[in-house]
Amino acid sequence: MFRNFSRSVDQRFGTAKFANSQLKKVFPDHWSFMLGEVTLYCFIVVLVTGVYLTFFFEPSTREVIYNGSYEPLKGVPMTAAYESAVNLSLEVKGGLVMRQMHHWSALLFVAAMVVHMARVFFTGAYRKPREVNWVFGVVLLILSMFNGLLGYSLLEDLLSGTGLRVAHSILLSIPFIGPDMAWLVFGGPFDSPTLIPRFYVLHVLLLPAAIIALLAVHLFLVWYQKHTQYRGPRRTNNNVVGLRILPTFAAKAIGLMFLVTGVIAIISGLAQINPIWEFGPFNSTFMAGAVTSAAQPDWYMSWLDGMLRLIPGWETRIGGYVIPNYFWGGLVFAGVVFIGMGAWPWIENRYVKDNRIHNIADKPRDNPTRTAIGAAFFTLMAVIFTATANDVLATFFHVPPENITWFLRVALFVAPVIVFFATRWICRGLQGTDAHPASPGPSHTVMRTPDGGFEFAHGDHSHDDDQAPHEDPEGTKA
Amino acid sequence: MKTDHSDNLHGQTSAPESAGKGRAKLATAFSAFALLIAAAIGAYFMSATVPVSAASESHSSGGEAPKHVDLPGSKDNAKDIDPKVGVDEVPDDIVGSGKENLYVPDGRSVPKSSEPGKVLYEQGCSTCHGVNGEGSKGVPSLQGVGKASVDFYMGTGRMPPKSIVVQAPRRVPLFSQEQIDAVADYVSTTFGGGPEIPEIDPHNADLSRGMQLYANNCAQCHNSAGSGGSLGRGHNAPRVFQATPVEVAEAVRTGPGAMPKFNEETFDKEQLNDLVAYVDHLGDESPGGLKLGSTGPVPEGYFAWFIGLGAMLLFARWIGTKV
Amino acid sequence: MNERWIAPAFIVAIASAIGLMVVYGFTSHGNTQLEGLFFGLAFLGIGVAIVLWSKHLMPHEQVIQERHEMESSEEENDKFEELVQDTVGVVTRRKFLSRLGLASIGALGLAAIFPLRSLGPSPRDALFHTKWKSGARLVDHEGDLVKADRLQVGSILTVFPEGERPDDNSATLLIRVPENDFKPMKGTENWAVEGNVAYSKVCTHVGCPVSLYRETTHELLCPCHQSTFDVLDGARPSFGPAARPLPQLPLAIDAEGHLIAQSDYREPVGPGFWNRGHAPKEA
Repeated sequence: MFRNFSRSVDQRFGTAKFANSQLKKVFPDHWSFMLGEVTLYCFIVVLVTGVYLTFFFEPSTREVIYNGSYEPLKGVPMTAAYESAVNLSLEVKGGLVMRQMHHWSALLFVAAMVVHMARVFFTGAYRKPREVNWVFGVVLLILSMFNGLLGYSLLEDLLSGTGLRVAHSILLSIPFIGPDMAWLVFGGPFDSPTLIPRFYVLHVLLLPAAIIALLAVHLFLVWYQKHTQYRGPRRTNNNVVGLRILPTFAAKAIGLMFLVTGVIAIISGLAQINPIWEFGPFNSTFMAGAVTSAAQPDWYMSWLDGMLRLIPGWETRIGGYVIPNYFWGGLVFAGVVFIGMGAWPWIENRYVKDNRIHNIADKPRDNPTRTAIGAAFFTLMAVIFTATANDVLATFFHVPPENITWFLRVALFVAPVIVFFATRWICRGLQGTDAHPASPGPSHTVMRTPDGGFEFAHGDHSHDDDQAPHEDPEGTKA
Repeated sequence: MKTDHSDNLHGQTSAPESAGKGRAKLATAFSAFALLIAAAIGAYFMSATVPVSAASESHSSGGEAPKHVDLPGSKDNAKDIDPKVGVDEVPDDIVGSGKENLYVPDGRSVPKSSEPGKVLYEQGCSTCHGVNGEGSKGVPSLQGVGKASVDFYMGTGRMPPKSIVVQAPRRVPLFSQEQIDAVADYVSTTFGGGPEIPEIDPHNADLSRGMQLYANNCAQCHNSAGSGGSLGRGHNAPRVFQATPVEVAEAVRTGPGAMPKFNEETFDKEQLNDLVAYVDHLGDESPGGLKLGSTGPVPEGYFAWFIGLGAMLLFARWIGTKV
Repeated sequence: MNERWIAPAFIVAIASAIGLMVVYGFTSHGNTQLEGLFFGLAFLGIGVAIVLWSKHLMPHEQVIQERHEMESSEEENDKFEELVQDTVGVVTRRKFLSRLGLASIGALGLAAIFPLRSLGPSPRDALFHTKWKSGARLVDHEGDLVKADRLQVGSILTVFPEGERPDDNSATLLIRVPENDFKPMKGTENWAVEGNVAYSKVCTHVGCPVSLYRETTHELLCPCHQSTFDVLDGARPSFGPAARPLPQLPLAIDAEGHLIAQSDYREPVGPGFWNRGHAPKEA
């Protein structure tokens, strides 16, 4: 039965040949290589729950009067977008858990992506021949962040409305073309009625399509160029040591997909996210000009918000023309970070001038300067993320937010430098050793030989270390 | 094609000497980090316990370090007020030990006197606010504040404060309601009256009007969900749903601390009822689950990273370990 | 955990799935917490079972596979270069036609950008004024007029121009300050009425509603980025990222004692932008 079917497919598509060669593929087996998978599975959850939500959401700024079950909003004028979002949360059975899954998985999607990129960065896995795939990764990060921003702006609640106002102002700040740019993107002022349908199409069609397309290329390249592996016995720059896709590796991947989805579902059932019915409607005569304290964007946009809080009140004025400080903090800073990330493989290569093919991933200690730069960058980001929360932290720790802001203004410059030198010093100390930073003492690895005996593994890896080209057995391309 | 059943192909082998050196560096770095954290925690608790001058509220003083203020009733000489006060009579539920309090009342009874409020006032309040309620440096005058204000401050345990800070926190009140009434009567009749204690009847309130009033007048400081927020310079807007409806109404009318006042011209009685009913509603359970502090995307972000992603990474690590 | 837990994990998943169906099917409104929990446990059960299965009952044979060479040989590269040059040569042989062809595609591309302009009208002078105009009476959210003695000292109210849909840009803060402490800016001495001052509610930083009012110090604070404005000193920024004072609305009082605006704001409200100092000519 199966044979007949598979024959008939094969006669038309040649599937057996293809599957036999591809499904035998070997994939290196290390838990840190699963971070990209975690990201992918979060994205699948975002996608599926998002499709469910579109069946209930009405992307329109048409004014309606609420008549649902939430007592405080009864009789309140609001946009259809906000009303349908409240209804799908409070009236549609299972709607709230879907909405919360969509929102939590979006937060987790970007978070997992950042951790995945950190793994790729600190192990130097972006080096030749994988630079282009790194760039695709950076673009995926940017697209995902902005799609998130569009998504939470669609609901037209008070909190996201405040965010829209800020986004509009940041566009306004561009020299020469700012006002036209803001009107072009928003279709008018920040509360323009064309905004919601426009952002909706971007959020559910254009950006997801771009993300899916890019993701497909990204995964294809991982497949085609084969994954990097860490140093180890028998591992060379020219082979892959690991598990075959079928059956074990695939089973683990599928298991991880279920586990990731399960974590998201449980969180989404138990922990509330973005209770829009409490915030009230934005752009409603009911509460024009209102705002709520603790006005932050979702975490992945909040580094831009943090920068806005840190920059002092300086404004450049030239003969009546104005460049506000949030042009630098909101746009220029973001541009520098994104371009810097995307161009990193080539920036690094200007200094190390390394044209070899790298299929062996570094340990972070192998390249102290790179690791130190990465650690300093993450420190910088941590400072900025903390700044975003300055008012919330002030309430929590009973410290004036002004003190926090001043402290962080100094830390912004000092902390990355300290972390840079500290990291480099630690890496140099660990270099040449295989000690795990968290391991309690020297370890001896007992290896089982193919014929069933045991032996101590050798400490000398120069024969499979891609740092030592003269020892390279099969010759990396110089 | 070779196969290999090795338990560990990552080659975690040893180079003991240099590894020892690396670990020493790591240990140094981690201890330095731990010291730094310890210092930060220490600094935090120092700054939290050092009394902050009420005078530093003046807007000229930026977010500077708190100054110590020399008040007759500061905690070192708190016992001067009434040496006979028995510390052991303080109810257990009072925050902190009785010794830290600026004033510890003599039980919770009303003094047997023709003017019980006067006795309590002079024992418990006059050291700072003055015998004639005129206030002193950095301490507000009580002339014309009225009953509602006294009832709010003493009923929420903010007065008398544990120590002189920019903004006294809510705690279990030191006085019984009877004692508070006596002081409130005394203050309002002797120093001139202000707003009376509002009468609240939130039963037939209009919740949506309450929400409108709340969103337009309260949410900017107290947060849409009522969880409070920072006002800068050491002030903060407390969470609202832990207050009783009458306390909320009193706060609206009298504007305690940095809060503006909303008199009957701004909110009439009905509006006040609606508002109070809505605030009460904010404390209700939420259909979405744990509220995570109801302070918006910040706690949500931390939760996503540390709980959500944390769990996922642990699963990935588990899958990655060898059998 | 070992392979003995595989079956229980699958059973937990089945039970949770049934639980989910029951919660959904047999309650009137469902229950978000139980739905999430059962949904999640069903996934976790299957996930744990599959992972245990793979860890304990599947081969963990480490296989070595050679990487295929990415790079093509020199001859292949030469051949490809030849192919490209031949193709280009065929086209560029007709110089005039090929250039004209390029130009036509460029022109088409340029023309295709034009419809994009329809996405956004020109802002014209929208950033330069609000709905306030000379003589507009102040109303609160419920549309009630405001008299000069409505607020007591230390109180605050959000007001809008009468007869207009309340909007964020026109939102104005009316604050009653102690008259003796108020220091008006030059040229604004007669803009306050009996201690009632009115400032734009739109932050001069990125436009959030500035509305946290510290009554003790008469300072306004923006909840978005903590810009702080000193109301007694012409709403000049005293902390945070805002660079300009909040614009003040000139107030007056009409014959019936209601507060009115003398005019619109004399400068653009809200965030700064490039041509802020150069209002377009009235169309």
